[in-house]
Amino acid sequence: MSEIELSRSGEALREGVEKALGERLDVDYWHQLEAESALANLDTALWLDITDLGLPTLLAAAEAGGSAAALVEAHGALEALAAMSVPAPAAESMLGAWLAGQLGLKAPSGILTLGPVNPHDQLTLTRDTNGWRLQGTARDLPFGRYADGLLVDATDGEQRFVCMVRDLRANNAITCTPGEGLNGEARDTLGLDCIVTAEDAVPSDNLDVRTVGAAVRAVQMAAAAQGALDLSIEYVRERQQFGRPLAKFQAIQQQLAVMAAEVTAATVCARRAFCQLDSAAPFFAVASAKSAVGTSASRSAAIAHQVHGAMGFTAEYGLHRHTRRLWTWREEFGNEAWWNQRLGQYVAKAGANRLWDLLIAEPV
Amino acid sequence: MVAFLTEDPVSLAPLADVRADIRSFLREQLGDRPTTVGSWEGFDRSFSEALGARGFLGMAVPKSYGGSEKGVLERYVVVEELLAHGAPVAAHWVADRQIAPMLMRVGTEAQKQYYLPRISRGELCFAIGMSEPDSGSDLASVRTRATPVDGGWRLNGRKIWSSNAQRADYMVATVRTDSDTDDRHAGLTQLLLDLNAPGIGISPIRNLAGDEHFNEVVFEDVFVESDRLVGNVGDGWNQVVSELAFERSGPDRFLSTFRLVTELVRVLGETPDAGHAASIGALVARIWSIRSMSVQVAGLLADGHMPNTEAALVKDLGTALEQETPEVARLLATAADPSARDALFEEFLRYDILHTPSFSIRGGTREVMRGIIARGVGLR
Repeated sequence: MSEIELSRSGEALREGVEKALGERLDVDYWHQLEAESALANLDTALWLDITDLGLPTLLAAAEAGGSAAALVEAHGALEALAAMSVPAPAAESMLGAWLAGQLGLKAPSGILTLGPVNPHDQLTLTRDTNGWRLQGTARDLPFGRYADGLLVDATDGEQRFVCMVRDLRANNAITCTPGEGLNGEARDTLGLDCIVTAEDAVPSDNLDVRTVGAAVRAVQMAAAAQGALDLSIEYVRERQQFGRPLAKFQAIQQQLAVMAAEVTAATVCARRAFCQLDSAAPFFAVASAKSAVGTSASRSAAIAHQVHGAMGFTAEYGLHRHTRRLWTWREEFGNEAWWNQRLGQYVAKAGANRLWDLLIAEPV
Repeated sequence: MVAFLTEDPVSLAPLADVRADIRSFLREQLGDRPTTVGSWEGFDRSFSEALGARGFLGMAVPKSYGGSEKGVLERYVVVEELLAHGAPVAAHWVADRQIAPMLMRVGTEAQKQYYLPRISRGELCFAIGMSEPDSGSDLASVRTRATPVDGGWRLNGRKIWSSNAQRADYMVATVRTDSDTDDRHAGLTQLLLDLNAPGIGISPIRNLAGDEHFNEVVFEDVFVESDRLVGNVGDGWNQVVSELAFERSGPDRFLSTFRLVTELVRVLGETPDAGHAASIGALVARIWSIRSMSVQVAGLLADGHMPNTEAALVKDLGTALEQETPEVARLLATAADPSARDALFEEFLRYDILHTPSFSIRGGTREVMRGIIARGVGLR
């Protein structure tokens, strides 16, 4: 008989992060932040807490000063951060350090961000006496203005590379135009025309920033959708109309059942894809997950708002912290349409007889 | 916070040898491009017996009862390969999927010794008797009555929508043995009926596609020996409920239309335009997503849990995907090279359009699934 031992490896980290940051991010915290429209400004005290918890270096190797956690453990921390809507580039920094380590790039300490976020932004590399000249515009970089390091995909026309760009703020060859995402957080446009050393650009075919970013966003979306579901269930149990709680209406029950299915699908897919990031060929799982989770995110947000009525539409009530993030994250590192197209082309090229093999593949 | 399927990803990669075995068997039996339309409805006793002879049935049944004692996950791999390749599985389906696990849980020693080896050899076809003309989704309202008599029961009443009853050897029927109780869920009992017994009349009901698949089964003073009791008198409801996780979470809940997806990819060719590629991609992503859930539920079943809410989640999403498949296929294929739409594609498309309405009804309606989920998240 097959022996199976089910576990929840991410549980400890999830609880740890919730406990450590939960108190700080209380209702007053959010109200003050939102009243001042200060979401786009990084809260340095919060970032210090995140750093003290070791989250940015959670996945980095011990030699690089990290905790060398496994992906299957780290997703617990990512889910906790997303469930609490933590307004800081913790996930980007954590996975940036991980990706750098995987590719043999040296990561600067501090805040890392990932790009391009928009798949239509193409960055190019041309040979330069000092290594490479990196050119292009990368829009909507999460907390780009605060980044100490930027990991980007780029191409020299023949080969795909992942590059580490350092000392962004001190570099005159990099311009930063601040912006805000749908979630209110900093999403900044960086104009790049800078030199990266040969050591800071490595060829990489199977693992790139977009794939990592998409897998991270899937995990975050699943957690935010779960957060929206928790709020919705709580709300419909309390809110009374026609003399009974909304939860007692079958129309409400059936909607939330659909949402629970979407949230569960999102959680399962996101974790499966995220845990395959270190496999030889993560494309299929990540493409499927980003597409499926994005779809679940849209459906979940719509249902959460519907059952909340007008209350969910207010700035005061916290539902939008989840739904605005869902709307932001589903778009980043390729939305459903973008990944669907790649996935469809990949499947078509492989041919009908290979379809089932692709679906069940578990790359090692 | 109520969250489901939060366990670490279950991997089926260690079972590559099982997959290779069943694939080589399927290639022998069905060739490279199987033409069976409607895997579930494909009734072929000799195919089922060949499967049994190779140890692909009764995989979670101990060797001492004639099974191959491989495990729940090994069985999962075999089942998903069977369905993905369109194998005709109807003759052994119910027996292998839910009767064997049920007998292992609540069957008597004599029942286990008699039925389990025969199920594992692919020799026995079982039907299920749950619905009645006046009891569909409301299973607890069944009225078919078993009255105690010397040496057993006398059975009167009727069951409906029993798949393959006209071809099956046995039926596990949920019947009322006590009507004095106020608790609707009490007083129900499961009996294992020999469908050749006197007093049983079986009439196939033609479906909208013209097939005779489900049946009405009438019981008139049928004598049922006392050793045909399954589990305990009065425990019928709980026993039925504990079968449901097996019935609702498997690959049969999202792969019924998979052969059409495969043929659609063939029709669209190697270089579909961007929009068509995106439609295929969306479908494929959704299949991957629901299979991932189904595998997680299989992990829970293998670990001895009874994940009923999780199974309802899989069935709700899976059947919606199956129903969406022919819609995507018919519209996309319009854009394809007409010569690529061969007879097999047309046959799959026709079959799926005509059959998908039943998918969110059989095995528990969509609305019942959502009711179970709503209870699972604490709304009922």
